[in-house]
Amino acid sequence: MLEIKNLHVSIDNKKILKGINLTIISGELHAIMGRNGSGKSTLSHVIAGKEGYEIEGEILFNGESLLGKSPEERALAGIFMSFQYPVVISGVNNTYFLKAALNAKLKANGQPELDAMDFLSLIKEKIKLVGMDESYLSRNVNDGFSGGEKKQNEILQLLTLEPTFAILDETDSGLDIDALKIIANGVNQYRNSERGILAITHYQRLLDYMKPDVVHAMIDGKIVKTGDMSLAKELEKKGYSWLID
Amino acid sequence: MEYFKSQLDSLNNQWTHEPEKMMHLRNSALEQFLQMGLPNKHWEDWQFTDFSPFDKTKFRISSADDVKDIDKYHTQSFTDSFSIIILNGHYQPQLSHVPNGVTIRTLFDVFIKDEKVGLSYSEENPFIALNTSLMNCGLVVDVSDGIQIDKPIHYQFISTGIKDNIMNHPRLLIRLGENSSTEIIEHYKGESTSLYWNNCVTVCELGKNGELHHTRIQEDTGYHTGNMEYHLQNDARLNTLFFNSGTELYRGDVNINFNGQNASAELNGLSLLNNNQHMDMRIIVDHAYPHCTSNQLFKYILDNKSTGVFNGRVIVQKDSQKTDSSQSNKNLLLSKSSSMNSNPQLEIYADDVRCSHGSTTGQLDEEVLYYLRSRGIDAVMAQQLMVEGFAGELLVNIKNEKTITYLSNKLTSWLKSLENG
Repeated sequence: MLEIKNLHVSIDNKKILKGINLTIISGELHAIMGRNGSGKSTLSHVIAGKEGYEIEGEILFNGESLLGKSPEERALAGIFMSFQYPVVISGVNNTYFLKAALNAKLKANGQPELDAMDFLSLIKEKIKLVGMDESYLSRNVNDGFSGGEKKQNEILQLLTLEPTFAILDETDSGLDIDALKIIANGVNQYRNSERGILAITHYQRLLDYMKPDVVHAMIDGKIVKTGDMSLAKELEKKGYSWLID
Repeated sequence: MEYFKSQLDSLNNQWTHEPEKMMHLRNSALEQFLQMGLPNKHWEDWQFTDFSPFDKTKFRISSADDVKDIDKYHTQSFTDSFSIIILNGHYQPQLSHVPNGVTIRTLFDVFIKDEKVGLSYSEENPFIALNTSLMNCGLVVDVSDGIQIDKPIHYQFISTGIKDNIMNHPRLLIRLGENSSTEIIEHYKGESTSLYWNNCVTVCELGKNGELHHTRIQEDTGYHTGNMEYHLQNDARLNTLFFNSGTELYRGDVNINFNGQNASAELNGLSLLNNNQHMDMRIIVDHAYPHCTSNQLFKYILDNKSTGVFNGRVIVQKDSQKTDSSQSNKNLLLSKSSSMNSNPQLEIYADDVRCSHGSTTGQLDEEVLYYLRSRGIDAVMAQQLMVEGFAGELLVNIKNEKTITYLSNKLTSWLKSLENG
């Protein structure tokens, strides 16, 4: 479903990604592990369509090139990114925002949009899955949310919008063990044979709960080793320096 | 400037029934105005606005002939309300109605009875002097003591269908009795193709423990100068929103005077600017008594080449201990060629007070825009959501829900008009 071919990315002439090749098929969960500054988050944003990068190479989603498409076009094509640092949107109510996002998708698919009542009953079901109180629905998006609550809110969006491909950018960072379980549980509910997931992380612990099919180690803008869960365990134990030599 | 003199002559000729002392007041106010002249860039509190357009166009004062048959549609309120209707500067008693306990009289009626009524004009503001001189629509609204009005009073000042460049100088005096509470929507609107000018003075006197919710909606398409003056007795509570949209050139002066203790004033403002529009507000809050509260939040949203000015001053007098005051001005620039001049000031002469002030001007946050778009919301809608979010906190404080809906819709259609060029 997602095919990345020889992807080179720079910002202000500084090379960040130096030839990434990655293929993820439906039903698979891939994890990319790497240290800070290895280019993991840049890869997420380049897939999601953030502007400001110089890009060479190819990103295909279900056979179509994503490059040149706007973030909203990519979202409507089925791509979702859980942000490492979800932003606060002043004055915009969480429910209103989620409804606008879901209705944008329904509209693009030629389906009828949900009215406020129908949406509310849907979102009240979804919010239970991520263990959040309903009061978060009437608050402004991420305004005053703790680090963990922001991540829960990202997973709530994932479960509401039901994209076909999800990028989880450091969704585990800053979470305590209880929050981590809730997040992993949410992701596992999302996961099925039709959907692909790319999880980006520093640590193995989120992967313990999510059991990736493939694990990649990323160093200095390149995927230097690919394996299974045992690679994650090895990276956790030995760090990354053994891969450089 | 000569045209103002000839306009006063024509007014004096038309209104020969006016008592001599009224004519005297008009003449001396005009003298004061001519002596001051229009503000120029050497006037500190006026320096960011070009007032020469008021001299370039020779406006004529509206006359009885300017009241045409008007489509009822224009006078309908957006909410269930009592109403005061003014068409092209002329009060329409037959279209107006107010509840028991409230009276409306013309200033002329009050004046000939020799009742004491404040018609002073400051020596610092030429537009008030000009209004006093050319006053052509004076109304006094009195709310008796202890009256609670459950519906808003919707004052509609409608300018429409005139081909000449007309001007009006309305004076509105609202006197709220002790322990009474009311909501007033002061609404200026017009859709004339020719340039017109409304130079307004509104004075609100709040009696002891009186509560006034005042929403001033200013969507004139011509020029607008407005002077809003408030006097608060002990325990009085004032809640205002100044909404400005549509006008080419706007200057608004707000003066808050605390005349007693434990009074509070919530002052909110939302100004929407596009094209070459220019809006300039000066807010002066004078804490002359202790234990009073004032909170200000003024926001401007600017697009294209529009320019805005916010000039706010909070003065805490020497004996005004326990004053609690905040002043905030936040501005959103939607285009690179729009600009904002913000100058919040505090003058504190008492020592046991809590005061804050601040100002921010910026563009839409690119990170937020990207976040919204990454959820499938297109760029136009994302911008709309963010701007509505920015403005929204000002609207929620309005008492009347229909007013909130009306202004929310105004904001949405204003945002849509930006997209369409």
